[in-house]
Amino acid sequence: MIETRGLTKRFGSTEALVDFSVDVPEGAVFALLGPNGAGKTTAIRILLNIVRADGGRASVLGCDSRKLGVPELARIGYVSENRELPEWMRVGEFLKYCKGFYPEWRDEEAATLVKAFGLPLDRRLRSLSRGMRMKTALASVLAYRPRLLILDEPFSGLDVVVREGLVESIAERTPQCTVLMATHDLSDIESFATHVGYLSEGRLLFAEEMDALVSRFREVEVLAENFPAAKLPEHWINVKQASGVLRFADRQYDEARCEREIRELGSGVRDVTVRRLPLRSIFIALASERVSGR
Amino acid sequence: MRTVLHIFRKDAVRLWKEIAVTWALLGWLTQMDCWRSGYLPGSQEGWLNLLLPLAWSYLAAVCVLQDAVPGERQFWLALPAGRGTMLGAKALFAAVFIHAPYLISCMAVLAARGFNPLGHVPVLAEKQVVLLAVVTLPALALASLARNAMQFMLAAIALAGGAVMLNGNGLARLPNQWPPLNDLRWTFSAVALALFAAAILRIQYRERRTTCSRGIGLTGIALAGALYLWLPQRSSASLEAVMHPMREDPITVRALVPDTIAHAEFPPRAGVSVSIPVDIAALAPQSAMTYSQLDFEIDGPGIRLRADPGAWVWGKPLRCLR
Repeated sequence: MIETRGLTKRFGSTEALVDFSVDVPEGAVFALLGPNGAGKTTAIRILLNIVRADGGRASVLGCDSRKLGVPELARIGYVSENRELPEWMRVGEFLKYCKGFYPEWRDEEAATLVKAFGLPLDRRLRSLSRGMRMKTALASVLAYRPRLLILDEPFSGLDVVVREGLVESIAERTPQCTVLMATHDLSDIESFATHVGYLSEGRLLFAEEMDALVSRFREVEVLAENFPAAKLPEHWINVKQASGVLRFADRQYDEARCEREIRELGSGVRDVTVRRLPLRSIFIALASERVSGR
Repeated sequence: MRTVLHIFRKDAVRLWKEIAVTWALLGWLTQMDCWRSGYLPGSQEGWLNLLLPLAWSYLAAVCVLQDAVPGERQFWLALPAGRGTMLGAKALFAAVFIHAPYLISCMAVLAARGFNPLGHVPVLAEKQVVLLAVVTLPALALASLARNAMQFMLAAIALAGGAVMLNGNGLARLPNQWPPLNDLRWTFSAVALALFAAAILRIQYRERRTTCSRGIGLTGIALAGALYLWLPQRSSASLEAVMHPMREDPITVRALVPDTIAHAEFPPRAGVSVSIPVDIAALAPQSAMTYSQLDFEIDGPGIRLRADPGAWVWGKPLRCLR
């Protein structure tokens, strides 16, 4: 559905995207995570042919992203906090305007969305709250059931109730749809992402299925008399050591190997506890690793 | 075409107030032009003649800026509407709300003055081309380089100021004012501007390379200014002669001048302007006469003036024969 190879983009001396390669399979809900300024929005804009990459290539719906035409764009839904809506329009006018571009537009679907989101058709977009504007934008893309839904920080700044409602609506209405969602907030994607990628300073650190990610990360806590100043394995990240306790996240957890590596630390190991890591902790560990420069 | 009309309709709904203002200005000017008795426009009409192109430029610009080209946040960029379609919608808007009303206005003025508009299609077409080259295309191109109306206004003011300074400087450099040659210089500059404007629109709506387009725009402005300031007079005179060759069968007409003529003086250096009402015979009914090359003589009590044979009527001072 989406395939990129070696995408690169610079803005002056800043590297916004470096060798960005990712595959988003059909039907996946791919969460592209990363802190603000990591390059998520740039990647999405390149995919939609809004920004031209300096190098590499991307294909979207089987088409070179630089040649995305009307037929492809008519099957893509794009909602972004960075997208300027025609704010002078009333909600009803806006939906009618959008309808004119999409042959697959379904009036009954639009009416259902208007009702479900409680959209005030006679109010101008500029007078709506942020949440309402985002709901309107979502309604304008869900009404034609896109094959590919691209969401760029769609829920940032929204309260939990609104966010959950929107996530449910997207999940309900896009069962056949592939979703690419860029966000810096884990709670946006925890409940429904199938794949996840982590972008930091323009570089994709990893991209894989959510289940595989969660299953290969473990938090390990080791109690010992003392720890020799040995070189720790590379895949132990976010290592913290204090008064006979060594705590780290193993990003390539394998039970036998982990036991062996702990034994190699030396004698005096009294106890080892291994815990599954919630997604949030995985990303905190990864972010900390990045900051510490490991 | 359906999408072009869809975007066009959106712009028309959004900009109806601006459209109404330009139509009101045009209607007012047309009415004054229809009922004016003299040749020269009055001051009010003069101001309207200045104001209307500015209003048209603004209208064309705000239409483009509804879906601005530079930037990455605009709503239209991810819509399934080709960029050519977007340009088509903006062009249609300019055609319907600027060019068509102007055409109707010109036809109304012709009709009010007793001419059949359909008999003057080339002149009407020429006016449309001039409007396109001098107002519509540059305004659309400039707007396609601006992110918002403020940027457009600032750039437009800078350009207009530059043009005024250039004009003053240009006139100072041409001591013997020779209107046809000055017109030719303006034409060259306008053609250069129009061509560069068209190139900018093409690049902006095909590739959205704003920095490159801005460079092209600055080059076009510099070239247009250079053509106006530094084109050798000999070159423009030669071109003018090629464009308007002397007729092989010159028409001789007889002009009867009444006993009293009005005259007025315009200080300090414009000399004396004399308005001479003439009664021209020997022309077929419905024929149009231009005076690009005219040989004439004024013979009156105490004075006899003669233009050099083949001279431009405004080009050189009359020669006093006695």
